Amino acid sequence: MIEIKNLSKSYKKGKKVIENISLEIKNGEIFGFLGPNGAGKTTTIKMITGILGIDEGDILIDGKSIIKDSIEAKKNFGFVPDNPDMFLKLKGIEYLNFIADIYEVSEEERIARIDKLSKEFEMQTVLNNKMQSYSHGMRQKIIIMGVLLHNPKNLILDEPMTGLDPKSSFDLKQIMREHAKEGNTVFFSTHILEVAEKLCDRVGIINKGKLIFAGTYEEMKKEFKKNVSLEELFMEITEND
Amino acid sequence: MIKIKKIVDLTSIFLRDSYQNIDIIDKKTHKLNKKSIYVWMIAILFLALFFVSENVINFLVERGQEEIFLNIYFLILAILMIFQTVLVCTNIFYFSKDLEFVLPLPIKPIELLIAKFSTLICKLYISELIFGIIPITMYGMITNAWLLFYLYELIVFLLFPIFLALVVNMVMMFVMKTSKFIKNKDLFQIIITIFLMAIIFAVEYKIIGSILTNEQQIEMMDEKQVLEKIMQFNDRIRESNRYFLVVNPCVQMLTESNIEGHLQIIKLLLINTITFILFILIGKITYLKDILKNTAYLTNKNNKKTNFQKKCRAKNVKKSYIFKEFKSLFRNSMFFMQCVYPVLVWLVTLTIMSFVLIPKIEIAFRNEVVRQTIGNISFNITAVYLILGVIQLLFMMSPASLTAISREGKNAMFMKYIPISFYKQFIYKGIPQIFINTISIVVVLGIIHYAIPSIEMLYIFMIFILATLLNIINSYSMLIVDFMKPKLEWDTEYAVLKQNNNKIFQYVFTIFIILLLSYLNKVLENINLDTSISVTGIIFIVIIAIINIFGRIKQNKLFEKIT
Repeated sequence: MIEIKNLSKSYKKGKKVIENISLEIKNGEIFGFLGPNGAGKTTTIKMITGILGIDEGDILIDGKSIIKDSIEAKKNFGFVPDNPDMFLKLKGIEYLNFIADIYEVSEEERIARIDKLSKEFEMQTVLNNKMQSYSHGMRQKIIIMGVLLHNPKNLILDEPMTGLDPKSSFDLKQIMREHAKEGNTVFFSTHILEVAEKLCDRVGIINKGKLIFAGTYEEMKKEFKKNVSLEELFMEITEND
Repeated sequence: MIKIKKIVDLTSIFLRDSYQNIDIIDKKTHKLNKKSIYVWMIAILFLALFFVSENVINFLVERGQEEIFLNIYFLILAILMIFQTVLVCTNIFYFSKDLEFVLPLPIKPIELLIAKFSTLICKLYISELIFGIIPITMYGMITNAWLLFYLYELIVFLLFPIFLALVVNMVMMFVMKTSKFIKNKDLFQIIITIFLMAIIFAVEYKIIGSILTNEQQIEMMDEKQVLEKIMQFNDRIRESNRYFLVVNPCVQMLTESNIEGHLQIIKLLLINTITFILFILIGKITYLKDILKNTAYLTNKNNKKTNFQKKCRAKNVKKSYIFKEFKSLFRNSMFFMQCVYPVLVWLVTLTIMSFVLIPKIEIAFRNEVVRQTIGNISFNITAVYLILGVIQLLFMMSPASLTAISREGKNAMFMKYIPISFYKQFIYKGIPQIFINTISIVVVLGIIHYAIPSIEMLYIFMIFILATLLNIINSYSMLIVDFMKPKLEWDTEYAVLKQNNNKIFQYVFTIFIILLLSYLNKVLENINLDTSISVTGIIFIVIIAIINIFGRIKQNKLFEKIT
């Protein structure tokens, strides 16, 4: 479970880029975080994951504060950044083993999970290659495999569909669904509204640093009294804000 | 038909790409940028070269031996040019990032080859401008040279590096042909550079050895004989300079501004032209094929199902993190070449010089005049600080800690979301630098032990401890600098190291340590050696403790710049 409480952030004094956001993502839920470019999605995700400091408010990951108990909080989530160009000089298997060491995954467990994940993502044949030889999609896959390797209760993904081929994108959506089905939380940002519409249990829309809506698609339609697609609603909400 | 305009355009793009962030000229005012660290570094270097050259030339002019300056200086310049070519040529010609963007363009391989060579030559001209212009112009001024000297100086600077660079590049192209036997191109880039460097070391060893021969009679010499020896020494340098083919004609041009000088220009032009034609011929056959082979490597996949179970051995977090740090540093050829390789080069040079020079110094010490001038040398705290000073200079050669955060680039934020405390990561990040520096300590102390066997092993061990403490101080101080001012936005790995202004802190820090050692020397020189060493050790431990407390208390502040 992820709890965001009265979160605010400003880069320059007096100019808030995130303004008093409160949000709760429950266990077993897939939450889509939507917003136009520069709305504050990545800033929020960076604060949730401890990359950026928090000016006001707090974030709890399974009850652990990212400010006060950061190490325990970090153990409770897995993060897929928007840029998968990481550790390119390491071989895929070395990267996975490194992540398993950091999250203290036992030897038997890591072997079984790497075997399962590499089959699911069709990466068995390239695990022994350096990550610099991977395509963008393959790099994205290995990062996702690294995250799933330690089976975190909370999955946080920043624009995870970018660069994935249709099959991988389909597989990832399946994995997200299964992860949530097992009682875990999935929080992801995206620009692809069709994905959000079909995949998410709830969505949050952020614009100019303010959370302007959080709820289900049905609730959104009720609130704005329009029976249109998420894309059309999104355009109307963000343009009128 | 080769299009010159294309070559010029390509060269200009390659150069602009290399020097994009140096900012020597202020873009707004079009004047010298006084805020640029590079301007100040060049100014300090110019001043140092000015004073050293003036003193040396005046000393030699007084004895009528000024020509020896040109002979030695051009030998040094030739070695510098060759070193620089070896260090950058493989990267410029075969491994640079721009090749991926240039290869799809309608450019002939030969045009690309010439453009790449022109880029290299322009870089060598910049080095010549920095290291050569002041001493050679000073020579002209002190020896009251005619205007023709300065015209010749310009021609010499234009023609001098071409032949040397061409020869190194031809050797490189020849070695690149063997690259098909080595699948790992990152490793290959390191191997080829080490191979080329080994050739230079062999030549260097032979030249220094031949210059410094037959000095056995020095202990009985008077001043006239010493002068005679200097002349013989000059002859031997000139003889050695013949190996470089272009050095003696250049010196001759500057010393004989007459018909003989004109002939030397023709000779230089001829040497450069023939070598250039040869270079083009070899390049035409090999260059494009070899580049394509290298770019193919980057997208090469084994596509074999591997038994990964053997590779899934669990390690503790600390070990795993440090291993990852080493892998990232040693497997990346650019990072290796900039952070580890310079130290190895200096250590090999130091070892060769020591093996050649130490026996000569021993002979010189048999001379009564030398003994009286220098006085009786005994092992004291000054000697300890001198050794630590040399070791500190070697520490300065590796920016491993200074770029530990910057090298991560955009990946640096990985450090912030993994469940390892910032303090622990701070400690782990400093380990590779400590390892590299330890190699320097061991080699220097090994040389000291070989050169002066009379120093007790206990003292060698004590110096090792002091040097290790100094090593830790260096590593973590530089790491703090990188944490405070990281360069995380970069496109090429070359940029993170070559265009990193933090390097100035490493130089300043070295000056600070040397000043500290000089001060301690003054304070402790009259105290018993063991006590002096212990006091120094305690001072170093206190500094380490302060750094450690700083790292622990300010861990969140240290990671603040990584977002």
